Parts: sequence; C-alpha cells; structure tokens
Amino acid sequence: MKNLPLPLALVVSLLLVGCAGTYKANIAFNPSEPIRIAVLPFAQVDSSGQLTRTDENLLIDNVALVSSQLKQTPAQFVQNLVQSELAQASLDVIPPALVAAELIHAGFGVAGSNPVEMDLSKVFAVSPQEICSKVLSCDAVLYGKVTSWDRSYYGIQAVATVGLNLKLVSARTNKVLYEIDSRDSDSRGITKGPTGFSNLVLEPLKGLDNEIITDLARNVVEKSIEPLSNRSRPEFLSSPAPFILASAHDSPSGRMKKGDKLIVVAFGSPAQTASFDVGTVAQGVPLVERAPGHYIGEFVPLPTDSFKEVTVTVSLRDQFGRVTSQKLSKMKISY
Amino acid sequence: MNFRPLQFLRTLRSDCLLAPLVALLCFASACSPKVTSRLPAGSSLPAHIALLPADYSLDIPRERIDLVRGEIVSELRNHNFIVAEEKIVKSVCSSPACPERARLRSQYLVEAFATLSINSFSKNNFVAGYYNQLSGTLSLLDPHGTELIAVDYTQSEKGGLLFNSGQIFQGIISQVNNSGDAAYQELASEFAKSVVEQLPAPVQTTAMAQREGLELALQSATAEWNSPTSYTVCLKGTPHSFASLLIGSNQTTLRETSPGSYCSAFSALVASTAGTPATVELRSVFGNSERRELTLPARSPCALEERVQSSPDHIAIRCALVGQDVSRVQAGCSETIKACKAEKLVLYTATSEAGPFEKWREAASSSTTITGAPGPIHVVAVGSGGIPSLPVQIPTQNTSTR
Repeated sequence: MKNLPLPLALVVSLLLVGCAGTYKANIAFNPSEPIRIAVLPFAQVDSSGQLTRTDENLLIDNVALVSSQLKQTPAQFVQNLVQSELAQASLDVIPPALVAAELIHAGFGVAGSNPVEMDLSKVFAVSPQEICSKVLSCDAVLYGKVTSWDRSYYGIQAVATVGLNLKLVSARTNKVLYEIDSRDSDSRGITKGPTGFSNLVLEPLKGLDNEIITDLARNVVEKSIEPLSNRSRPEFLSSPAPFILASAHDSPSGRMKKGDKLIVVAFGSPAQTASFDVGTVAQGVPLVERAPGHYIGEFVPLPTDSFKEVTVTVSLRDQFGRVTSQKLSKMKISY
Repeated sequence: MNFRPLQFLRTLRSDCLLAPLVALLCFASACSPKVTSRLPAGSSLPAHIALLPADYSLDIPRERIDLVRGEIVSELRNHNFIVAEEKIVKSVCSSPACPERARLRSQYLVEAFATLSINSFSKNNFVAGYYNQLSGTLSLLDPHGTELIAVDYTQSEKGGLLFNSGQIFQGIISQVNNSGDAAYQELASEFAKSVVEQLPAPVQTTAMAQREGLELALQSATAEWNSPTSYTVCLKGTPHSFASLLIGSNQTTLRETSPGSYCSAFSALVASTAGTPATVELRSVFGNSERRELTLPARSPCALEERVQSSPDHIAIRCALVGQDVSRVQAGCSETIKACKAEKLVLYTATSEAGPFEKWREAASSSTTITGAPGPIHVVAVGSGGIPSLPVQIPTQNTSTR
C-alpha cells in the first residue's frame, strides 16, 4: 500500500477492516454423530462477562423509513437464528418450546413473572449433567452469549457490531465439544463509497437501521454454526457421494409367506452405513458389509405384520450424511 | 385496424402515469403481509401443530420448497409452537391434503394443521443489480379444516449497484453475495420470519399444562433370540410414539405391535456388529425423546464362527451335531446345543471371494472333506425345520477367517 495515495490507502484499509470478522473456533467432536442437544436460553453479556440488556429504545428505531424496533431482545433474536441454523446441521436439537417448558417446570423461571421469564443466572450456573439427566434427555448443552450488539454513529460512518460466544458442552464428560468466539461488523458511510455529498450524510444514518445489524447477526450465526455442518468440511467437497451399482431382493414373486424372510443385497461404494426400507413398514433395516462394497441384510417380519405391494428401497449413507438410494420398484413385496 | 397517433399518444401518456403508480401500489402491498383471520381479537393459536406435506406438483424446484418449509418449521418452533416432526406427518398422510388428519389429532394430539403454498420463488440477477422474490401463503386450519388464519406474503430483496446507488462498494458486495445459493436461504429465512411473526402466539399455559402430551416414558427394552437366526428387540413405553434402534449411525424403526409395545426382528447378521453401542429411543411426534442403552446379543446361539475347525482338505464343525437328535452337551462343549441341532452342512464355493457362490456339496455329518474346491468355501448349517445358519467362511490355504 506504499504507492497508494494516502486517502485511497485509508479507504482501502477501512474497507478491509470493515469486512474482516474474527471467528475463533475449537471443535473437539465429530459433528456427523447425531448427538441430541438442548439449546439453553441465550444471554447478553457486557465486556466483563456480566449479564446485561441492550437499551432497546434507540431514537432511530422510532424514525419511520429509517429503522424499526426489533420485536425481540438481541439474545432471543440470535438464539432463534442459531436454532434455525442448527436445524441444517446433523445435530438433533430438542424443540425450543420443550426446553422452555421443562426448564420452567424444573424451577428455572423468575418467580412471579407473567409470562414466565427465564432466570438466566440460574440457567448458566447449572451443570450440563444436571440439565441432561434431571431436566431433559440430551447428550450435550449449548450455551450462547451475545457479547456485542452495538450500532455506533460517527457522522460520516455508522458501524454495526455483533459478537457471539457459543459453547457446546458434553453432559457425560463435561468436555467442551465446540466453542466459537465470533465478532463481526458492517458499516455504511464513507468506507462504502458514497456517490455524492447527500449520500455522505444520509448513508451513515441509514446504516443505523435495525435491518443491517440483524442481517449482520444472520451472517455471524451462519459462520459460527458452519463448522458443525458437514458441508463445510474439506473432505465433503473432495469426496464423491455414495453410489449403488446394483441391488436386489430374493423374492421372485414378491409374495412372502408366513415365516419367510426377505434377503436384500446391494453392491456399491464400500465402508458406508447401509440400510433398506420395506415401504413404511420397516425403515432403516441394517445391511451388513460382508466384503468391501457387498452388503447383505434380512427383513424378518413380525407375526403382526401385514402389508401389500410395498417397495424396497436400499440406501447408502456416508460419514457426512449424504444418502444415495435405489428403489427396487419392479418387484413390490406383499406379506 | 386504424392507427390513430394522437389517441395512441394519449393512451401512452396515461399508461406512463399509471405504471409507476401501479408499481408503487404493488410494492406497497408487497411490503407487509396480508393477514386473514377468523380468530377473535386477542385469542391465541393452538400450540401443537402439524405442517401438512408439501405439494411438489408446482413449477418450483423441490429443494426450494423444502428450504422454505424447513425455515417455516424452525420459525414456528422459535415462536414456541410445538411442531410435529415431518417424517411422522409424512408417514401418516397419504397426500398433501392429508385425509388422515383425524388420526394425527386422536393419536398424536395435534390441535391444528398448517399448510404452506408457495406461488413463486425466484432469483433474478442482472448486470447492475438483482431482484429476488418469494411469494406464498401460510394457513392454519382447525381439526375440522376451517381456516383459522392465513398469512399471504411476498418477500422481495433487491440490491446491487442499481439499488445501492449511494454506496457503490456496498452495491458490489451485495451483487457478489447474491450470486450463490445462499441468497435463496436468506430469502426463505426472512420470508418465514415475517410470516410467522404475524401469527398470534400459541396458547400460553402453565409449565405443567405445556408439558401435557409431551410426557414420554420408556419403561423397558429387551433383545432376545426368537429363532437361531433372528432376534427381536422390543421396547415398552408411551403409546403412539416412535421407537427405534440406533446402531452406530443407523436408525431402524420398531413397529408398534400393540399400544405402547414396539418391536422389530433383526437378522443374526446384525449381531455380528455387536460391540458397536446400541441404543433404543422412544420419541414423541413433537420431538422429545428418551434413550436407553441396550446390549445386543453377541452372536447367534447357533453361530458357527468359532466352531469351524479346518485343515487344507477337511472341515469339522465343533459343538454342532449333525444328523443326530441330541439333547445332551457334547464333550468339550460348554453350551447346550440342542437348539442348534443341525440336519446337514451345505458347502458353497466360488472362483473368487467376490462370488457368486454356488452350492458345491452337502454333508450329513459334522465333518467332511473339502479337497477339490475351486476357490474359497462358505459353509451353512441347516438346522431342524430347514432353518439355515449364516454362512461362515472356511479358512483355507488361500483365505483367512474374516
């Protein structure tokens, strides 16, 4: 940047600074494992880590056409974003209403509040073991803290900043399975290239719009949850999805008699998790890999089973959750 | 047809004036969701709802429909609705209209049904800007099919240089960001948020009442051999729930054979994977679950794996008498093998380990010669009643035991 004129260098530096968020993640488990997690209520904390609340009555949010009030607290808003993002990952997330109901039932509500508010200090003080053994049925607990939620105005520049700390703790070992410290900002004004003097004045004001900080929060959450998604893993991109070259079952007529079993075989990519479905009667019947790529399994009907013309579907699933299926629709099965 | 230039100009002029007005009106109407409600003011919606299956017959890619549905479900859950799991709704409903709603209501305590219809979902990139649009309607119906509330909304998003004329760099950044599929995700997310925000809150009750219908109890789980080649896993717990057996990352459903009793029979093949942790799970339609670890039978009572003794030209099956009716423990065998009484041994061979294996020889005794086999040999013991054991590979000079 030595040869650049000073104003241009300043603008470029500000642009670079404005774009670069910090995301410090540490992951210590295989996110493909379908562990069951409880997302506890999020809290907003100040720089010293104490629970706090943002001043939700900014003047700018009452100026029509510029901004509008956020209908939730930043902590609730970010928690909702995290829950929505987690739905895309392989983790099994306990429904939020259930977590709330069980926590309130277990005495984590603020006494006398109506509607019942959660006592966050109590929630953050309890151990994951206690949550997962006494309150909910889960393998791990996700704690979330909004460490920063700021909209700052500097005359020719407005900067929105969002900070988030997520911590997933195992209920069995108390080990931190995943932790991320995220902080990112977005700006409007001089650094985003105003095209006139009026824009130089107006754009920073528009930059205080709640929509900008909520969009930023969405990006921060997306990047914070990304390491938990298999799609972001380099192996996912470099390896092909599972394939099935051939599959068959051993019922030539499709009619199974009492006491019969149905043998299903498949030939495809090796070392996968293989299973087959018999319509909706039996789903996920395991196939065992007897030789590399050669899978065999048996459907054993129960005495109470009875079904007509259902399709057998063979599936191979890889470690990243990608599933390839093949329907044996030419010969449907009845029992 | 007579062309009248003056009249045309007059029409054109009025059109030119009308067009921006119409566009403005369209934009204004698209800005806020249109809510049609039959609910009395201030009333709440039922908390336990099911989103009925998607109608994929529309001219919109299935993935985009699923994306919006996923976001709607997430958002409903975020707003404290208790939404029935999609796979369960799919398994009950035979069509998007779901004529089996009464079953969802009676068995799974669903109090209201949601339908989502998507009219359009498009991303339009042009050189200097972009315009994305998602239009659809979310309706909530009572158990009788009467619409309680419907939210009709068009979520649009525009950006790029044309729409960020005051912030040139921001225009470039937003244009670049819109080139990927993440733009669909963002639009779907905002659509879901805007639509669900319009719904009245679900019934606010006390914590105890909220938990009603969510309680789940897993009383017992067992795994027992029911024949020499299969075992049955059974679980007892809350009726009308969903039970499954998890082995590693595979999940097998257990069928509800009577209210509160869930079973499935597994081939002895699966027993060979013993050692991997197995868990049974009972899950309610609304997603709460209880799990318990379960020890799967280590191996079939008639498994031959450890009973095959072989030399280059001979095999013998130890502790599995063949061709005799026995009710005693064979010398040197610690287990009672009455159940594993075998009628004959069947030997299969192939030119290579990849197969295909064909029947090569039968033997009516516990030992036989194996000279002359063209390749690897697998042996199957056929028990009384013709029940075959699982095939076992015989270690020969060219192969080793798996």
